This record gives sequence, structure tokens and C-alpha cells, in this order.
Amino acid sequence: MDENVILSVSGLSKHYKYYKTLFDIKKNVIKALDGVSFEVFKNEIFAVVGETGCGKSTLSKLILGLTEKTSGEIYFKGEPLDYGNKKKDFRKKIQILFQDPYSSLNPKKKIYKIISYPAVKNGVIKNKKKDRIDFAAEQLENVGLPESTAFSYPHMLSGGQRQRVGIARCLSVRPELLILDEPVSALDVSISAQILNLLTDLRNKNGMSYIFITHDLKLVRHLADRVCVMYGGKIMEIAETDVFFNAPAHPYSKTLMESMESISFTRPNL
Amino acid sequence: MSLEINNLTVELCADKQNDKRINVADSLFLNVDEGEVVSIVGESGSGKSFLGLSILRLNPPRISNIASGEIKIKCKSQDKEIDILKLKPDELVGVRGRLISMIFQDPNTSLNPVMKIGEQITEAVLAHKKVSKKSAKDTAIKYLNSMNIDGESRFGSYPYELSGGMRQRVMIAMAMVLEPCFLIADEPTTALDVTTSLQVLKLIKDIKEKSNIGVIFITHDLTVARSISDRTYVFYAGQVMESGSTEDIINNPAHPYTVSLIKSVPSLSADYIPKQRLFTIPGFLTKDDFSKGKCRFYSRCFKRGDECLIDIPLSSFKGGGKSARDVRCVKVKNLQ
Repeated sequence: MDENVILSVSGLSKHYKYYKTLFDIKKNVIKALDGVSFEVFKNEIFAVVGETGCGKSTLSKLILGLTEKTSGEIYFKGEPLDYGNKKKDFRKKIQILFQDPYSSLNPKKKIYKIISYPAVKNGVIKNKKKDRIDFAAEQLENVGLPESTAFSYPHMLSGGQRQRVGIARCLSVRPELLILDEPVSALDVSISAQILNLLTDLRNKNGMSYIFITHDLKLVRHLADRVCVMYGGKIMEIAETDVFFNAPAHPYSKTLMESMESISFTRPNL
Repeated sequence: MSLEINNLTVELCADKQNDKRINVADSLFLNVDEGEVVSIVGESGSGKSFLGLSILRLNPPRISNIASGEIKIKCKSQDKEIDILKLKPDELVGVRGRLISMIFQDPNTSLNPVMKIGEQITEAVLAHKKVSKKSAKDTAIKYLNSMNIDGESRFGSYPYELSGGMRQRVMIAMAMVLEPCFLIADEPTTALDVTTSLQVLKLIKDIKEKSNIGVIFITHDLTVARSISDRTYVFYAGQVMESGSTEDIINNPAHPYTVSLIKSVPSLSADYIPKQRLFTIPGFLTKDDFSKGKCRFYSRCFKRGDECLIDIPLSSFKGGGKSARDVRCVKVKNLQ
């Protein structure tokens, strides 16, 4: 296997079964993810684009081992991704940054506890108050927050600051692959620029790979190296960002691009 | 037909113990004509949603009050001009939904989850008009159909059975069912994804053209404002920082805040270079920005100087009426 491939997914499917009515005899199947294959390289930003319900979130759940796959294989650095036996190993290497900083931080815990929790759980540091505070202060500095934030509660911070805390938390175990699930869609324009710059800086400094899940093509063009377009649980197109934006090949990509262009500075009216 | 806001000041209690009050809307002037879309652009916490609520006097009564100003509304169904701020509480019922209606940001939380959508719409009709249940139902179906939803079959659906875009369209149907003269749309597309938000924008535009109503469109995204509105008010910390025609503001922004907003968004245009560092506005909007005696954008501005430490008036450039261009900045001396 290629040395540079950090994550390789082949033929991955996830089918959800449900009963349409209470007395249904046969189960109905929703193919949330249907035979998806792709590779993510080291130090790469791999963007996954698509509308709501196309399977973006299911994909991230499967990579994180939060749900069982129906079929297919996921390899992390040539090793099959198995959360059953080596959960701790993979948890350290793959982390996620959630979309909504308002609901992804525990409102009852102080910031230093939130940030150091994954590190304690994964045995990076000892579960002592002083260790945890020192560790959190170090992480906060990385994301450009003052040390004093460590003793605040989440409600005392603004949206942008909370998202920075979220970033500090997922970086605390030094992951090699970070899944960004719409990291700025809940934030204001001015704040989202700060967060995007921070994410770019951190990647250049630590050499991580990002899987960047979004529906905003402007951000994809700004950040990503490669783009993957999904629709209805299937991959429609994978292309280099430049190539994709100059000449999208799949009709669905074109539709997506057109709807994006009409709400942007480039073309005026509807 | 017009909606005119003159010198509106809304106070909000910021600190209960010391009885400290801040102006979430500070001597605000705004006007909307029929068949016109006016957008209010600003970041969260700048008081734009509060303004939308205040126009209907839906602002929370215990912690906020409207200190001064007038909101005049003139409608074709009304013979004379009314000042909403002078109305008694029971008279307000005739205004809300009937003359001015509102679409809220999140359709997931603003629809009643245990009521069929058809019933929710008929409820609005029955509360305001003396009509039979049968004809109210027909009206509801008619309006659902006009929002590209199959009214007959969807009348009995519950909100959870609909997608986000459909729910937002139901909300619009509910807002339009009483044929108001003005519509306040409070971030109607924020919770939706690209393709559906485009549909909703198109729909609002169609409604505006068909029934010739005035729309106040509240958003935090200048790109959305551009695709729908004729004029724009850039809002920051309760004050209008800049106003004028939307094209003019985006092509030729004058206030440092507007300049920063436009610069900090990556674009899809051909001459944009990806992967460069984005321009950022340092810090964030705080309670202190609402205080008097300085420019409200002072703490985050890249152009700030000592002359900014006064209450800055809104100065007019370029004529009056529709083409008027107002900027609240001492550094801006003239405009092309």
C-alpha cells in the first residue's frame, strides 16, 4: 500500500432498516451510504460536498466507529480500522470537530476539563487537577486563546471562542486525521474567517489530514486540495480542486455550482 | 403603501443589578416601499432580529422597552396611516399577521410539532377572519399549492414528515395566508442547505413580485442580501453603519465594517486566489460595543483613530430617495 495514503475506504455501505408502519412485515431499507470508495493522503484537505441527507454524516460516523458498517472496508495507514479491539489507538489518531459549538461543549464543565478529558481518557496525561490545567493551558495557547479561559464555563464564551475550544479539544491527543463537520456554518462571517485561518495554520504546523465536510463551495475552493461530491449515498465525482472548479464533470456538480454561483458576489440576481 | 421607521430607539436591560440599559436599536431610520426588498445585514448579537421583533412589538416586555420613535405603516386596506407604537395591545392583533407578518429563522422549532400543518395555517385564518372552516381550509390549500407543495395531500402532514425546505415553505404560506402588506423574513435560509435555500429565495422573490408586498430581509450573509434585495442596511451594534442600494454597497463599500465583511469571505470569482490567508475582523461583538461616546465598531476597526471617540452621526452622500447613500464613519469624507 502507498505510504502516503492515510485513510483508504473501499466499497463502504451503510443501510438503515426501518418499518414503514407499526404492522409492517417487511423491513424497508434506506441506503445512507452505498459502495463508497476513496483515499485520503497525508497532509491533505479532502472536501466532501453534498446537500443534506446525502450521507456525509454517516460517512464520518463510520470512520469514527460510532456506527456499524453494513459492508466494505476502511483502512487507516494500511491497517483495517477496528474499533472493537484497538479503540484507544484509533481514538487518538482520528478526531472530529463538530458543527455546532453551542451544543457540543458540556455546559456543566469548566473549559480545562473539557479540553483535557480526551487526553486523560486516552492516557496521554494523568488525571490530576494540576496536570489537567497545565495541559489545557498549553492547548489553549495553540488555538490563540488566553490561559485564563481554562477556568471559564462554555456559556461565558462567544461562538468563535467555543469553536476554538472545540479545536483545542480534538487536537489535544495529536490526531493524524481530523474530520471537520461543517466547522464554520454556525458562525458569523467575521469569526469564520478567523477559524479557517487557524485550521490552515494548524495543518501546516502539525502536518495533519483533514476530511472537510461542508455544503459551501466557496470554502471548498478556498481550503481543499481535492473535492468529493456526494449525492444520495453515492460518490458522484472526485477531482482536484482546481480541475473541479474549472470544469465540473458530473451534471450534479454543475447544478451545485450554479446554485452556489447565484448566491455569491460573482453573479448578481436570481 | 409604505413602512417607515423614524428615530426608533429600543432599550434592553443588560445588567439587572445596576439597572444598566443598552440601546439595541439606536435612533434608527428605515423605510420600505411596496414591491421592494430591503435587507438588514449584520452579525449575530448586532440586534437585527431584535429590530424585527420590535417592529411587531414582540420584543420581550420585561427586559426591553421601546424608548422613542415611531413606526408608521400605510396599507391599501387601511385608509389612514397607523403608528404601531401608539396602538393598544388588543389593537396590535390587527397588525400582526394581517398587515405585517414574519418568517422566523428556524422552521424546525417555529412549527408546532403536534399539529398538522394544514391546521396550523387554518388556525391563522380563523383567528383573523370571519369565515367558515371549509373556506379556511380551501384558502390554506390554495396557499400551500402556491408554495409548490401539494396542498391536498400535505394538508394532514405533521412537521416531522417534511424536509427543512418544505417546512420553511409552510412557514411562508402561513405568513402569506392573510395577505399582509409587509413581510419580515428573519434569516429564512440560514438553517437550509445551498440548493433549498436558493428555492426559498426564489419563492420570496416571486411572492414579492406577484403580490407587490414590501419585504424586510434579515440576514448575516451579504451574498444572500445581494441575490434578493434592492437596498441594504448594514447593521452593527444597534446602529446602521451604512445604507444604500445593494449593488452600490457591495461594489463600492465605504464603512470599514462593510469592507471587512466583504474581504473576509472567500469567493468563487475567477480572479480569486485560493489558499491565501483570509482577512479577519479581530475580536468579537461585546456588550461594551453598545456604549456611547465612541464609534461602536471602534474596538475592531482597522482604520480607527482618536477622532473616532465621539458619537458619530450618519452622514448622507449622494442625493436622496432610493439612491441615497448613508455612512456612519468620520473617516469617510466623500464618495464617488
